[in-house]
Amino acid sequence: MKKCHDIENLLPFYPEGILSDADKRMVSEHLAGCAKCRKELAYLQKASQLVNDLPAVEEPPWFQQKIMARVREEARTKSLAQKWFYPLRFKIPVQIMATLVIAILAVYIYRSGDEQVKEILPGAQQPAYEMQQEQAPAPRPQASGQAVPVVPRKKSAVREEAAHDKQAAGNRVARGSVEKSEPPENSPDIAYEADAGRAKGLAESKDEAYGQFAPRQNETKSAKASMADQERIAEDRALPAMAKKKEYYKMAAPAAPQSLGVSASVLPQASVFVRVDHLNTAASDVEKILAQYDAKKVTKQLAEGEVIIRAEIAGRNWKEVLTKLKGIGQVEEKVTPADPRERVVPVMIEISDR
Amino acid sequence: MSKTIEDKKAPVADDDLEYVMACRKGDTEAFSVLVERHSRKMLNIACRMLGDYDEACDVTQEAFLAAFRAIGKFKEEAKFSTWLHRIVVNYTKNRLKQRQRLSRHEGASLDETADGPGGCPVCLAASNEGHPGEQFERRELEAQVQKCISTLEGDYREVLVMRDIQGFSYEEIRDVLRIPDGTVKSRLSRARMAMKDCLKKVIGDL
Repeated sequence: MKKCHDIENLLPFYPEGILSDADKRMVSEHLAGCAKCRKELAYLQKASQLVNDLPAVEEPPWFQQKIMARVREEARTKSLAQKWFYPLRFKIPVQIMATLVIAILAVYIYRSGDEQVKEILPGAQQPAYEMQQEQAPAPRPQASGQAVPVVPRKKSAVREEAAHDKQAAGNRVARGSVEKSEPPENSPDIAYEADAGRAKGLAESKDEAYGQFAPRQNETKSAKASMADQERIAEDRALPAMAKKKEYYKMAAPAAPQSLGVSASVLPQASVFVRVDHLNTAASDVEKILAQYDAKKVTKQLAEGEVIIRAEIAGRNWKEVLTKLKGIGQVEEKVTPADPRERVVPVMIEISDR
Repeated sequence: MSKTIEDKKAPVADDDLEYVMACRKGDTEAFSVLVERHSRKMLNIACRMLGDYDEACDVTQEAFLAAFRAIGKFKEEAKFSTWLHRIVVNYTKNRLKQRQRLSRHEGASLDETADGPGGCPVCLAASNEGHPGEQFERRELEAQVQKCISTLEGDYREVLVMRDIQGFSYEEIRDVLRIPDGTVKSRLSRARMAMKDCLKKVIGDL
């Protein structure tokens, strides 16, 4: 016969009748000979009866209504949350979408902002080298400041090309305007033309950016309907926007005061465009006039068919200088100084063939 | 290897499914049918496990709200009622754990909390039949039985309440609690033995 301990775990299920036949027989045999286990079974049955007899509790009044009120409130909140945080069917909350948009925007701005952003960002390399080259009367003035460098290596390459182009430009000036109408496809140095044209276009655009000029390449270069011109025009369209952006960055970023100081010092407040018959003669005449009126920081830049002279001159002398310039050629006043009486005015004089 | 609800993949016939689908499509009112069908049983499970009527009402509401929030996650592998009971059992067990933590903090004994917070009466039925003296005796007995249930550990308490009070089948208990058959039976066996011992002690000679 099995011991009490062996049937202990089976006893609670014996009254239910869910034990296997073997277990049931074993328990029955044990119970027949064990009064203690019979008593335990009776207790179990009584306890089970008491538990079973526990009545069911009733719900409080309005219990279901209360539940439904909370459910409806939850549904309203859920639909609002759905509307605001999951506007699309897929589950990307607005916060993640906003982060993604900002990240994409940042990358876009970084890529399009390029040099100008780097110039004004704190810790960015100062473009002092470039500025010095533009202002100093260097032995190769024609090469300086003609190209806006994208990377340093490319900048030097562009300078070399521009230097080559300077000689070519000189020759062309000597030969007169007939050559200007020549399509560049026929020219053997088409690569030089294109690159120099692009470099010049960049330089002009940069000048315009600083001087807030309107683009005027179409006037001067209307004859050159070449690939180089087309490229340059495309870049010129892009660059004023960048120049505007740069102005905006200047206002927004006070972290690079030295850079801004240098830039501000060369901003021309007066600008004229002079059409002459003989470019070289006219350029030297203009220099003489400037020297006569004690102009300072006079720099000269040669480009294709035009010469750009920058200087700083006393504001009160500017009108007289203008009068003298009218004696040299046809003068178009592009930018007039607002109040030139007592201060030094940075000026830019562009001389080109008629 | 133990057999749990995850092993069962075949869909089961379920009267509630129609309303569950309606709820998923945004018909909030369809949920009221489900509340109407199951709220009483859910309240009874919670009440017998917690031994406190007000707390049981609170837990039942929370469980329904949780079910409504998660109704999209309900899979038709089991009956909706099974899923709903699982939610209320889990919420009740969490409440018991909270109460235990609180009582440990306040130095109160489990026996005191079994009577309900603030000395409130345990879940007593609303039956007023019979002589007032008999009524009193019956209520006293019910209170003693409930007190004994409340002394059981959570795992034993839930199987006892589900099987011996609510009359769930072993299969249903297995599905709700997601435990193997053997575990259900061993827990129930111990729960019954513990109840017998407790009642013997509290009531005397049964």
